[in-house]
Amino acid sequence: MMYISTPLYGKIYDNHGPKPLLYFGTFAHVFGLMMTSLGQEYYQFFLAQSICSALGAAALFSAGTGPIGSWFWQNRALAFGVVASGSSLSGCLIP
Amino acid sequence: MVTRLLPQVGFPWVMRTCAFLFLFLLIIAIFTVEARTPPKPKPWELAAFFRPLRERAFLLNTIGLFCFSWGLFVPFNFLVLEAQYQGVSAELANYQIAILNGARSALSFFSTHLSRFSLSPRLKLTPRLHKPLSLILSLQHRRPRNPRLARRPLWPL
Repeated sequence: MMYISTPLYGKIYDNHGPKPLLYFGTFAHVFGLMMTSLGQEYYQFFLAQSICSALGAAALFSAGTGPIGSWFWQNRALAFGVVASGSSLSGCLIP
Repeated sequence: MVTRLLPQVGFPWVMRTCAFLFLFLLIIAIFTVEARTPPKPKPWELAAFFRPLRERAFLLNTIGLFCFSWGLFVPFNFLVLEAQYQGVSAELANYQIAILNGARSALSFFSTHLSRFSLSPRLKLTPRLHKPLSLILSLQHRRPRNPRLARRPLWPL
């Protein structure tokens, strides 16, 4: 779900910048996690966490990696490495 | 954090704690993330999504990333179960995901010197070991047609 929506978010980023993706991603990800906490049945968990939260997380990822290309020219690979390590570091601290 | 909080407060409040933590950090991100160049809106075009696939380098890159994601899907989902099946203690088994992500973050930090494009670590599960976690580096080979595009040589690995 995350990977399918990434081209769409890339196009939105090119057209409108990172702000719309950030707003939508924040809302969707936090909303999905909150709905996961309220879920009782399995399908509710699936809907909330897998779809809603993943869409938000993909938007945030696109908004996060998009500006690297515009801010960094010489150390772009290092910057991308730092961002990627940050995302997996968060997965390390909050599994 | 999640594994420590789960027996104390229960699953719903753990998810809410994560959600509030993310909300706080994301509000900081909303105010700090900016694009340097202002965006230039262009019309939407469905063919534009498929046009880069005609280039060989991009097509190989896409297929490689597809295989990478597909291959990493199983370890991420079943690592804890496999560790417990092999006899690792329950607490350490829950830490495997954290270890995996930690190793991945360390590797991606050092990835700049090792490849021209980006480094994608590939996980190899060795079920015989008690800690079934060992990473193999895999480079994405890119041979540009134009020699002027090659910025630095590939490391021999």
